[in-house]
Amino acid sequence: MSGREELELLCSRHFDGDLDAAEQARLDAALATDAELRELFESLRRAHQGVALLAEMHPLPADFTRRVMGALDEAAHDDAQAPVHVLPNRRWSTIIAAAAAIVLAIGLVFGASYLNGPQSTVVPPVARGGNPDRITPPVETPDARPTAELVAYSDSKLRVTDGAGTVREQKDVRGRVILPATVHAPADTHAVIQVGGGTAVLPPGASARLTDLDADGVPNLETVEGDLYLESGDRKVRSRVNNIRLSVRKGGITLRRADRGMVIEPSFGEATVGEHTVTYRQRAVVSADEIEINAFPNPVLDGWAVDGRLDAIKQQLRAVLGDKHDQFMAESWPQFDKMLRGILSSPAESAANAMMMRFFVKHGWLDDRPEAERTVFLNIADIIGQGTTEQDVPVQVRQMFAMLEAELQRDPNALREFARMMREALERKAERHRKRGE
Amino acid sequence: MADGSEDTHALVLRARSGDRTAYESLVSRYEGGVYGHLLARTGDPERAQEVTQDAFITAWTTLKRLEKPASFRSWVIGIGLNLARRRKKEVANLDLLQGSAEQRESGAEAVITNERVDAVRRAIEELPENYRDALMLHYFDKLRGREIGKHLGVSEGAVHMILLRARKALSEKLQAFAPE
Repeated sequence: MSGREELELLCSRHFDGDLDAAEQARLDAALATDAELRELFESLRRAHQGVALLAEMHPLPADFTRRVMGALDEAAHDDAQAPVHVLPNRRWSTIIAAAAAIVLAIGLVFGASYLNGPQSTVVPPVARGGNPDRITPPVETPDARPTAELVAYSDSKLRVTDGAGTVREQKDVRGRVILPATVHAPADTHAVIQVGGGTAVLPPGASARLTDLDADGVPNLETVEGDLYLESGDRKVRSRVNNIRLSVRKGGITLRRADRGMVIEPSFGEATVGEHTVTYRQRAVVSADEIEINAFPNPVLDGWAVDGRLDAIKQQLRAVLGDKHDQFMAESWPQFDKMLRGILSSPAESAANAMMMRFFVKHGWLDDRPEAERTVFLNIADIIGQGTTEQDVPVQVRQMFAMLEAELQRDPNALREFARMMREALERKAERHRKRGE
Repeated sequence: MADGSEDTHALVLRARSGDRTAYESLVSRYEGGVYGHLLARTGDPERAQEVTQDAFITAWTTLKRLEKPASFRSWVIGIGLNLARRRKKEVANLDLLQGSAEQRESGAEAVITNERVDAVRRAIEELPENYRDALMLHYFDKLRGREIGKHLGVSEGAVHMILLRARKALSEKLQAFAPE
């Protein structure tokens, strides 16, 4: 072995920590005068630190051996009772780990519902525009002017002027109004309007007019000033730009004013503009005399539009939390808000979360909670899944649900175990969030 | 006592006859190395832990099939890698969702660290098998030159040379993370 190789070996063995004093002194002396060796030494240090980081960053728990031996007992017990299941809990835990990740944010909502304790009294849930059963269609008043049920709210006072010239200025306007009615968002914050089976959001200072354009019982909402975000619910949401009809069949669109006309951008789903279909990653520019449709690779949902979508969830939470609402909003909402924004920005995640929430209720997850609370939970699922369909759920996630269903049908007792493990997984994740927040 | 193939051989024989204490010693001795391999393969600590546990349980139930008791460690690693492959197919793209959820939670610093760890993991995966084994035995099993040599079937001096070359190769793959 050459002297050079010996020195290189000393460099490497230095990181094993097994050089004696003489070897270390020889290495130090060589490093002091040999730039090439120093370079090698540093490169070996990077490799050493990299592997050490991998080992240290994710170490095994101290009690891992005990856990393995415990699982061994469990497996032996399960084998005796059900030979088909070699490691039932471990297989479940894979599913649960994935499921817990999907419903991370929902877990916090769910946890929030327990703030009031098991004996909580839940106020009746807030009605949602998205549920057609709760929408009163426009009706003809005795003087033949159509009316519609309006639900509009904001953190500051918004202004509603109806067809009779009646003006209402308050944070929350609910009730029948004579059409056409104009909703003005406050100057300092956005406003939310439930309309035609969907949701609309106005940015600060904008206004929109509610009409019964087709006299068919489904109100339309068109922008008067500023921009507008429209999101379909159970039914189409309709609007009009420069006398051109548009409807959102599935998903959400932003109507944005520009020099060339009104820009229509689907943030997901698709819309019909006149005779044209505008899909996600496209946008339409509607000017006085033409409709131009272009590719638009990176649509971004405006902050005020996301705020509006979150407001609908906040309304539901208020019903669940009762007098603990303010405490929850102050202490827990910021983290919850951050995660929900991420979920709402992705149709796949929105659809998957909504599907998971409905799955929970279907399998009795909330059977020990008041009926009103279950309704709120489902309403939140509707809001999160608004504008998406089951087809938006990634196929692998759908397969996971199919596996779960099959397991539950084969072994009814598995539901209890699934619920227990799921709750534990969510609690662990919620605890990690709490610690990060501290 | 330091690890050695003879001890392993004896422990496996005792475990085969139903001695749980002997098996517990085997788990305790090799869990780090098995986990390290699976962590390098999956990149997911939770899944690596789970598969490590399952690999040891499977090994316990099939211990009689192990032809060379001294090869217990590499045999369990093989079981673990098979389980990981099978499970990856089962939950394929759920990783993507899980990853995106974690990403949302992470701060920029954590993301950088995670990226670095992931780069190390991928770099180790690309190393020749004997380099990878030597690194795992050293960093995860916490073994020293002579004990590593017993596992690899080489002398202590050869182990030092393998570790040197493994670190050199790894460093080249990690150039992108060299400090500015």
